[in-house]
Amino acid sequence: MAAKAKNSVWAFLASVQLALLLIGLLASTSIIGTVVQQNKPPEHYAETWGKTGAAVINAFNLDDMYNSVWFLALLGAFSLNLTVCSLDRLPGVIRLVRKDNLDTATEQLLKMKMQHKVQRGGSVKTATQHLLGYLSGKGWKAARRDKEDGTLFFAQKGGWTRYGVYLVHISILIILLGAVIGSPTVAKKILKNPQFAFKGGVLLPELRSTERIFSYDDESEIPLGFTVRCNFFDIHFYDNGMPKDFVSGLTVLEQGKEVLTTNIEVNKPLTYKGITFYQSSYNDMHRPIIHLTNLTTGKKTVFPVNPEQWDATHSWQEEGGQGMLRIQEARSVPAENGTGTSTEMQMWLMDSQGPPSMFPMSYGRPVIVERPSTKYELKIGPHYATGLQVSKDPGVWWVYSGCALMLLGLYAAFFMSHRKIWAYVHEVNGGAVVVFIGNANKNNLGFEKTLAALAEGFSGKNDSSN
Amino acid sequence: MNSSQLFGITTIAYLLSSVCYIGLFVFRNKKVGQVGLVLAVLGILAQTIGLGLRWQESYTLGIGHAPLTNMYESLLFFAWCAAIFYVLLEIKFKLPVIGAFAMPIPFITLAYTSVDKGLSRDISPLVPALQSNWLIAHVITCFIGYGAFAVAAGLGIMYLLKQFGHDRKFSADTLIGSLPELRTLDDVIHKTIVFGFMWLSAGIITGAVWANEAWGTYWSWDPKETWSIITWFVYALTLHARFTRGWNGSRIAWLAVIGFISVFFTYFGVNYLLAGLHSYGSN
Repeated sequence: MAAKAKNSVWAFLASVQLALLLIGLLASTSIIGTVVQQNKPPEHYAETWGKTGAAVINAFNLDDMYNSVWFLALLGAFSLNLTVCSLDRLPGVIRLVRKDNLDTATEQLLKMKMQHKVQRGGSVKTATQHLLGYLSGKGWKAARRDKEDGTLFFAQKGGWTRYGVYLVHISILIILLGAVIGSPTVAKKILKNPQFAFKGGVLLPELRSTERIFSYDDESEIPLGFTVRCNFFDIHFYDNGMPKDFVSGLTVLEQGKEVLTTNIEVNKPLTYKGITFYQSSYNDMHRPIIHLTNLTTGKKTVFPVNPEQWDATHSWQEEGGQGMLRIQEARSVPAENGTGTSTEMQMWLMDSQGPPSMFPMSYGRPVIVERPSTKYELKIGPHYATGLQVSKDPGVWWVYSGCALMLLGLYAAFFMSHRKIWAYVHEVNGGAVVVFIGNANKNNLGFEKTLAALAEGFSGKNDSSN
Repeated sequence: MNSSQLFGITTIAYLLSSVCYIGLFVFRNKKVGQVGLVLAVLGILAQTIGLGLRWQESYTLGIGHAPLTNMYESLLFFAWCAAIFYVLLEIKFKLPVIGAFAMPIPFITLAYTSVDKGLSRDISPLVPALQSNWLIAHVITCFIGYGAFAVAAGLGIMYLLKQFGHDRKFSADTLIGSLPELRTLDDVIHKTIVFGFMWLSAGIITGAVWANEAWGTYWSWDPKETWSIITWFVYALTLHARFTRGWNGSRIAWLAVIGFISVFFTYFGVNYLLAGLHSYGSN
């Protein structure tokens, strides 16, 4: 009784009906979260869906439905169904792939639909000898076995493609596993180690550094284990005013020592020790900052301007010695676009060679300063803070591997076939007769042509050898 | 000649091609069907040159990106994929009657791009999020899938029509008689769906990889992503029902149509309908 009960539970979990039901439920319930906006404040739901609607949304967690217990349970049931279903069917497929195809009775083979008979003069012995070489020359590695009244050859290709559909099933499980491994919730609540996997962000003003970021879920602090400094932030625009790129210059420091300096952009993140920094937003600090670029070496230096002491002297190190720069005068002028004001300044700059340079400059407009030893680009503009999304997802390679496996599995399952050929050599009326028999689990029409060509090639070979 | 003129020529070629195929369907005149094929191929050539020119125009504007970046360009590309997919299908299966149900798809799409004045045809520069090589891989894989699914839906409608005629015992001389055999249609529908499913999977995967590169999340359940997975589920369901439950015929034909409705919603509905809900909700 117990065994029977177990079997019926197993059969239910392995059943395709259950799979169809779960896929249907996943597909239809997923629609809800595209109509009900996700992760909005409670007032939003009351306003949009009314009091009753909001109560239903609240009861079923529809405001965050893809993380709700019932949706995760559906995904869990789907995984279980996939696992049991695959385990249930795999042994049969393995038997099918490993089957001893030379064991098949010749009478049974000769009844198969796809076959070509080649009359061949000469002895059975020569035909047998030729056949093995011929088949391997055509890429069919054949095994042979002597039967009562002849010799049977067998070769197959693509036996592994019968596993294709299971590769797809396993790939889904691997992707879901990757999602669990990379889940911040699992890291925090189950592993009790929020540093294992997280998603968060930090707003980092130019020239400032940080050792921690803030989790998106609950704004808790997550230590990075190293320090990141924002050297500068820059936006460029197209002529029509659309943003062209957002760039942040970042430096990674370990125990105060610079280990890595690079620029990140949207679509060009920085990954260090498994933690990835994405350019996600920016903020204007409403304070000026001076950007200085040595155009020979490419070295960028920035100096924040304190509005109380805007005429302070800033200094930096160059190869030949020290450089210095300051704002000597500043006055407000009407802005060119007619709204608000801009600032015009008189600048003073000196480095290790030559007399100081003095020149005018306006806010937001870069100028080129020519010095005896080099050229500088100087600009005074807003002091920005770069908005970084910071995440650590140790599961992402599982997900990617799963995706690659899925494509391989789909290709094998749909576009490749398990092709088998037998060649049976026997004697009829003193002459050798070879029967080529074929079988494929897909695209029989195409394989029929292959088999016909194979048979014809062998009879042609016979003609030429005569 | 510029790209818009070429797209105009393409629209006319697809229209005439559709008319020829419908002529073949109605009058069973094989010659007309062959003209339909020639027109379809000419249309595809004109459109290919047009797309190439638009690509080049973007470089002369100093923007320089593949013409796959807004709704107008994606519709052009969808029409191109659907037309190419149909022509390859005809070459493979030699069933030109399908053209009567397939070629109107690229024609209607192109006609829509010239009628809808709200559709911006400007070649605009790429915002930072779109500046990625994954853009091309993602759009191409998705749209090959969409093109196949569109043709599968056309085939599904053919199947249902044919079956309707069968059930009413229409004689073979009527219009229904010139449609291919039910069994043949069933087979082509299935193969088309399988082909589309492979590319849709690749499209979702390239999209996920791209999202992870740009934002650090390969899946965030936004409406577009969710609808793409719903579509994927619908076709997965179709394939399983066929392989393991032996579903075929009209049930698969219906699923081919339902699947395409889901594709259509992923492509359009999410942009217009859900975006509408969104703006309504936040007002």
